Amino acid sequence: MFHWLEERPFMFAAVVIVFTAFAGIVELIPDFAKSSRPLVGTKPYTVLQLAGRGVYIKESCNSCHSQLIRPFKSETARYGMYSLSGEYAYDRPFLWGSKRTGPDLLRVGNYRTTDWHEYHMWEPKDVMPTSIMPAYKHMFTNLAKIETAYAEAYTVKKVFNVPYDKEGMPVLGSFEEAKALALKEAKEIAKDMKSKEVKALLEDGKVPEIVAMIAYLNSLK
Amino acid sequence: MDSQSKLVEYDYSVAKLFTYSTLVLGFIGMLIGVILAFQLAYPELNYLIGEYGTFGRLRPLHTSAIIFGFTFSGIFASWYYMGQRLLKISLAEHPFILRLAHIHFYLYVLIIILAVISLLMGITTSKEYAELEWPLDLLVVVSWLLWGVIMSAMVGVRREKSLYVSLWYYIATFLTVSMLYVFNNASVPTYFISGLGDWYHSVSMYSGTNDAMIQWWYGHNAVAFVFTVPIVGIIYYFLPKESMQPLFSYKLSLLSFWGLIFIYVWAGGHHVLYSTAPDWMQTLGSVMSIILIMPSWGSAINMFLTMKGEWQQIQENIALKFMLFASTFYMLSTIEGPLQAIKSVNALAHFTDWIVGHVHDGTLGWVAFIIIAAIIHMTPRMFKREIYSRSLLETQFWIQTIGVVLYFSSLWIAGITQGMMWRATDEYGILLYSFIDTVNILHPYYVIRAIGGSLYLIGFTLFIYNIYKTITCGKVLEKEPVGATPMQRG
Amino acid sequence: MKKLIIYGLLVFFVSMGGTLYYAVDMMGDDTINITTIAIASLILILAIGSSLKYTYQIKYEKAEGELYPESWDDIQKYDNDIPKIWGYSFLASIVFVLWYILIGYPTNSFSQIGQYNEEVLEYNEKWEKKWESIKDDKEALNKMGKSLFLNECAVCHGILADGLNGASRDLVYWGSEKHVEDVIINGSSGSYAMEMPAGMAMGEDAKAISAYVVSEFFEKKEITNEHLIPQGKELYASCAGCHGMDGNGIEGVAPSLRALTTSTLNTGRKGKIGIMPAFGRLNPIQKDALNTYIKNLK
Repeated sequence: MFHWLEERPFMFAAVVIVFTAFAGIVELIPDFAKSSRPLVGTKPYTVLQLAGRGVYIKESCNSCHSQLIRPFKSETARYGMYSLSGEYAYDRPFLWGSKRTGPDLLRVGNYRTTDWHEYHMWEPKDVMPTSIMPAYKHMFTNLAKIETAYAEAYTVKKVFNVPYDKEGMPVLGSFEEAKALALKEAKEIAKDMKSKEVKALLEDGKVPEIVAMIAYLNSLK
Repeated sequence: MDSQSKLVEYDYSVAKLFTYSTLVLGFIGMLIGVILAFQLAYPELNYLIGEYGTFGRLRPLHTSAIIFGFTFSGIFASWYYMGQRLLKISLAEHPFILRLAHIHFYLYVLIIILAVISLLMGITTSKEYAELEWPLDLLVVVSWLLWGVIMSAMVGVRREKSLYVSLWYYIATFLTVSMLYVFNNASVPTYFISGLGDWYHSVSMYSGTNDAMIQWWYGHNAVAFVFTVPIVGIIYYFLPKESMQPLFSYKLSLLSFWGLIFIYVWAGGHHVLYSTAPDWMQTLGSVMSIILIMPSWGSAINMFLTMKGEWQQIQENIALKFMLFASTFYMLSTIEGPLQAIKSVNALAHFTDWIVGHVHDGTLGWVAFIIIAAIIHMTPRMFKREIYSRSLLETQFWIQTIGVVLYFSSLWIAGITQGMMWRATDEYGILLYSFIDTVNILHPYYVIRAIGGSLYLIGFTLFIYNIYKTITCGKVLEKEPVGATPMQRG
Repeated sequence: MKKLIIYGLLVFFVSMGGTLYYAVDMMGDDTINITTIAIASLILILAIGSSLKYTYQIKYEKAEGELYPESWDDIQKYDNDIPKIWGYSFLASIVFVLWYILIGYPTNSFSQIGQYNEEVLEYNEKWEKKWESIKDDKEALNKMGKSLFLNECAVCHGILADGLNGASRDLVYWGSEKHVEDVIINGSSGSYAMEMPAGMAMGEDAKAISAYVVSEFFEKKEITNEHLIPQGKELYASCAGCHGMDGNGIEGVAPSLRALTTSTLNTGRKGKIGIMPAFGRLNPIQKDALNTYIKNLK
């Protein structure tokens, strides 16, 4: 039979497709709907947080930091409650990571604060002398992509019915409204920050990456 | 030599081009890898080129350069070389296919250049080995389909009735990677929905746990169908050619092939063990990995058995040394992977450097060695010149072997140690080590790993030099050599 | 061949030896650690062993068999049967997995959260007894406190608790006579809505109150201004309004002076490099242990 296939490339290819596609169908489809259901109380990210998430992705923080707490005593003692599927329902893409060169960040908002992040991002070695994390000084001057973040939020609202503007959920509104809201949120965060450059930029109506990043990290709870 | 094969004069122009890109991209990818390794040991190295040189920016570049640059170049180079020979056609007879093949190469180079620029700028989707944003994804799909068209056309006009083993693996590679790539990269460009923001930005079709499951279904099988399947296809051709031995067992190759492609895809679930993916799916992924051991080993065993009684040849032939050493490391990493997928082991091993070590056992010890061996075999036949220096190759072999062993053992120790430290508690049940302790203890291992990687890169640089000298001033060959690749002493 | 065996053994012993060098201390009775070490050895043994076996075959056996008539680019193939060991191993793995998927897994009704709950339950039972006995044992509390400190606090305060050159609070100084005096003069803020104002007392008076507070509530024996303690005791009356006569503080207003660390752990505190978060996840005995440890820092 196999020899027969080897003389018929088209049939050969067809059998290969069946062989390889089979597993995906069996494993991925049955629980697809269940796995995308949000947990009660989980909210989509605000525009500022999404912009921060964009910075997180841009710098590939997920190369070194996971966002997945596995159900072991040693992990819950270190990082907090283990992950639940519904918590990730609004994560597009997911950011579980595959390597912990640095600690897990899924609940970093519970035990690190704005000023800690500011200090740490500027120079991790000031906080942890043997840290091997690079400093991210450029985040203090680069501007966060608020417009792209809004575009993303708008897209998921339209295409995937993510519940922005619903009761108890983050407000999206028009771009102008969202931009004003993000700026307000950013200024609120900057109150706990020391950097003069950051404050000056915010006064100009510009949001530096670091503020968006901190907004995102603080939202991880 | 079979009289028929003299009838066709093969056209190696595209195979040559892809050989060049294999060497160039291999060097770039490995160089970035070495930089990354040193960054982990000496973090000051993160600031070499401002914000563009941090670990996070370079890491996707390293993986992409090695997977899509080095490995795919090697796969394509081998394809345009052995594809003609195994199908007994010459691209010279089919100018249209040859034209397409050239377009394939230049499109590929264009994509690689754009990918390097966009990844350095931080334009990424964050999905491992699928970092490119949608405009580049589309280009990738076009170039991949182009290869598919070329492959189908070549198979279509073939003179051999049936397909040799290597071709099975190539066909499986093409089909499966197409399926995986399209599904995993499915995303919605945000600009077209909202009319705002960066035009190249997109948002994943799937969210959270589903996204993770699809990503690792892809990620695992990208490894399978780029680092395993086509590379097995390559060794199935080059080892018998180089040693002039008949393939030991057709039946074994048959069972290994069908077993491998059927089982491999199932095992993706072992990347998300103890995550929020459904329990049953994790278990399936974990146990299917166990069945995977034997089909993976089958090909390596077939290679070993093909060489039965040829000890003398191996002593003398460096290309064979490369291939057999690679088969050993292939066996190591294909048993390491499935056993790391056992839930109780994964609980400790996941997120540690042991996994990084495992990947590099496969890539340094297996993939790169096979591609190097293939280039050793192809170069004198494509350029009609003897390999420039045998002793240089020998030196390279040993330098790289030591490099791989250092790399493997340092991360082996580092990973298990780190995993245990994360779990360790004192007599009061309190975690014994804070995270930074586990970072500090790894320093010497990171240094050893970086040295191992550097040795490997040095070996590869010698290889590039050797091939360059071969092409430019190797001794000219009168006719195509049969069996062992001719090399100049010295 | 001999050389290869030596290389193989070398790789095995370096990798496993290096691993065990650290692992022996941490192995404990953790099944995951033990399984990992066992499997790690198995990986090396199987990989190295098989490679050596096949290398042996290359050296001492000869490949033969019936050739198929076809050839591709001069590559021929034998019609040999599959190696028996390979075939049986493949079959065995398939049988095992079929059994596992169809019978083993469904009847075991495993869930990872269930496994987690069991782990936590077992842990709690095991340590409850230990905590019970530790309560009044200052020595043991101190030891436990140190362990906690190294894991939870050393990240910011440094393993010597010296605050890493001003990056965070120097806990050796914190709670010393000098420090209390400084707080009395300059005030304190960060934990509670109401701040402790500056200038509660000055000069000699501040020294006296400090001596009293440190000896009485911090339970320290060696005091530089021991002669001022009686005077401090009288002056303390002005502090008692908030901190209580017995030094136990008032919930939500001022911290207990007897358990200053515990109270900081409960509320968190605005510090130099950032807000120190509240450590609500520590249980009371753990907080007590930290309190004891930090009090006794030298």
